[in-house]
Amino acid sequence: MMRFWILVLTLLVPLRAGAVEIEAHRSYPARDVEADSTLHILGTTEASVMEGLIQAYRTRHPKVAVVYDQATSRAVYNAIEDNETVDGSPYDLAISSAMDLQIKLVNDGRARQHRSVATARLPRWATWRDRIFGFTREPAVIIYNTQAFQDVPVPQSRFELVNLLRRTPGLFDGRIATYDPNVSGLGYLFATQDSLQSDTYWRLMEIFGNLSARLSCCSSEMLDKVASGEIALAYNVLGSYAQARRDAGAPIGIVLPRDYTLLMVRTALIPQVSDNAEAAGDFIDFLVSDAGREVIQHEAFLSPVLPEGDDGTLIPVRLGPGLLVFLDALKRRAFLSEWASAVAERR
Amino acid sequence: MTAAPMIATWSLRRRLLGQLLLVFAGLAVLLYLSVQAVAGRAADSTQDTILGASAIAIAEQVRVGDTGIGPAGLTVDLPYAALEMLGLSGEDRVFYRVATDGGLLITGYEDLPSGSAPQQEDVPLFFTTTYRGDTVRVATARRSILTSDHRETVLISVAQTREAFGTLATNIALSAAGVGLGFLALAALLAWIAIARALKPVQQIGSLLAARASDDFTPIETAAPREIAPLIDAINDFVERLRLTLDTSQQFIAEAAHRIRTPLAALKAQAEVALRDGENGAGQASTDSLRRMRRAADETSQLTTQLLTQAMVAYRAERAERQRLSLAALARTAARDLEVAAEMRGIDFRLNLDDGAEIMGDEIALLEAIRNVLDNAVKYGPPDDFIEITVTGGPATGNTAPEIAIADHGPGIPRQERDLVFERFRRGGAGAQTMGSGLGLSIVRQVMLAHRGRVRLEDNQPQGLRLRLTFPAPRQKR
Repeated sequence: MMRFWILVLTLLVPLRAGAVEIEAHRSYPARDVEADSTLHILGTTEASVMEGLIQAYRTRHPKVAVVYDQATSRAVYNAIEDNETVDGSPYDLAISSAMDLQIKLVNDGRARQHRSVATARLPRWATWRDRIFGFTREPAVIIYNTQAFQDVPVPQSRFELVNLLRRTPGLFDGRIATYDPNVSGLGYLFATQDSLQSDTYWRLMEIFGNLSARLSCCSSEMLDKVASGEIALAYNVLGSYAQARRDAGAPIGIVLPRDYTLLMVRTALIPQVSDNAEAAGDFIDFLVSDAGREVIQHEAFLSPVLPEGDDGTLIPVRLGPGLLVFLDALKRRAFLSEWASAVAERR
Repeated sequence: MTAAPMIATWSLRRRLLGQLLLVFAGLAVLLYLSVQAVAGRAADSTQDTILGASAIAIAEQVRVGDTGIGPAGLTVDLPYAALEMLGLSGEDRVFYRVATDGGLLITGYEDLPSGSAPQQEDVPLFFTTTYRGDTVRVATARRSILTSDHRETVLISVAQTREAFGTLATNIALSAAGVGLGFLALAALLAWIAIARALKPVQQIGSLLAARASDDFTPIETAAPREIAPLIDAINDFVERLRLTLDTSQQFIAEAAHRIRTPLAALKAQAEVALRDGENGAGQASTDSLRRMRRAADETSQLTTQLLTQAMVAYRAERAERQRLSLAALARTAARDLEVAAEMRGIDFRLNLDDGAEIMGDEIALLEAIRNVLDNAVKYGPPDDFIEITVTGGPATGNTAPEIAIADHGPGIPRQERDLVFERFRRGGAGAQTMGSGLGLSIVRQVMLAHRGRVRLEDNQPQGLRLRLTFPAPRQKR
């Protein structure tokens, strides 16, 4: 019966390729009449955001057709881990914001080596084993509704946020939000990295629990609610999305916490089974090139990874084996249980 | 003029340098190999230290879990640092596995080999294996833990690929190779300079000799290193011999010219007497004058022959190839050559020959020498007598030094004259009445010198001269 429904869904919804649960599917023919090859990309980034990057890539490589499938980070991981195919072809590029899952793919030998002049310019924390490449920098920021904070000083650090929430709980009860790490891979990554950085995080989460914080699946949802004023403040929101939303005119303020601001990178890797690794390598080189950074900034409204340095309070989540720790099933269970006792059970 | 024979030459400097460089290169390779081994071991031990620390850090976090958590009632709170610290040394892949010694997985990579359980809890075991297509170094720690109902042994394995440490070891070894090559180049340079300095005296001597006048026979006097002194001594010795040879040749030519001029003058005088006699005595030359002329011509002829013989013998003695000769056979040949001359004086040869006596020498020169001795004996010995020829030195005569002795019963040579008779154109007191050039014994001495032999003059009993030619024993046949 189940199989039947899957079959029906497959026939009805062309967004389902193989066993991968696809959220959006876009196909770009090669600019030239004769296509050399097709580059199959699987990514977590929204297809509309990727559009500009893919178009710019096609201009430079007119003989390559591009297929972009959007999926959740877990789906991306599973698809690469299980060597899933699209239209009979393996994926040539996996783009994900889940650094830990991407690292696990590399560590388990699922990614192919790629070396070029362009990737050599990346900062060390944004690449690992010449197999995974960060191409955007995504600070975890605090966003607030500007109207809600008209009479209230905007907290610039976690201490100030803790103090503010303690002093005026009435203003924020039920009107603050953060990621639900049970649901969101990115939320889990932010939460675990926060827990490594400072104990203030746990104090903050206890207060969030006391103030019946809303738990969200994704940055866009939190941005919507802060923009509408339903929520006054959200903690750990993707900075690039917030920036784009504010630039679009939403009444949103952005704070990069002064004590430290986590910096996540969106990464790309070439699966080991790719049959068009050359085009995939070209795509990665384009993403980290000056031209690619330009497109990322002005068309995709994301922050490109800078070749060098960053200011002191930005703490990049390092691409390395440490990320494997919180993927450990027992570790995850233990962390989520601790998180639940701090937040969820207090609500 | 004949072209100088081509002799293959080689450079002492290049040979020395080549051998030194070979040794240095060998040492450089040795350095590389030993540093590689040491670096490899150092890299292993560094990696082991980190892996061991990681495994023990994880082991410390193994505990009895809440009900329903983890297989075997055990759980582990993976410390972040345990894996993070493995990422500090490079970008190697990391694997871990926590399982009971019964093989029940608690967490991690199920198929990662754990190896055997270590004996002690705080001392991990290390081994190298292949996992997921890569060579990995594995540290396995053991933790014994008491659960609600029994004691469980847990094995904690942490594995890491070896790229960074392999690269480290290779880099260290390559640095060592670089240092070795640097030393090699430096050593080559220094060796080149040292060899050039060491060989400078040789060049100096060369230019000293080249700058020399062709009649300068003074010895080379220069401060030479001890190793080159023999060469200089040999050159000086050679120059001295060359000088002597030249002196002797000049004296010889002067004396020969003088000697030949005398009988020629006598010949001319006799011829003039005969001519005058002929003019005075109605065309009849006196028989006496003609007889004297013949004698003078004979003497001139013999003198010339002996001069040529000596020149020939002197040449042969120095140059001719030595061959194995029977001394007895030489004696027989010489005796046969002089048989007629001896018979004319009624003299017999009594041969007493050991056929086993052998020497190394030049047959023609030796025959000439023996013939000269025999000739003297025939000339100076009394007529109707016998001459004893004795050859000893073979197996039959006790393997002594080969020797030929010739004894006559003539006037002999007085003791005080014995050193003088060997000189050229010298003749003993007894020779005054006999025709001779005074070259005979000088030839004998020269031949014997060239053969490293000795000539001894002794009194024969009861009367006469006994002349012994003693040779060094030839080298044994191989």
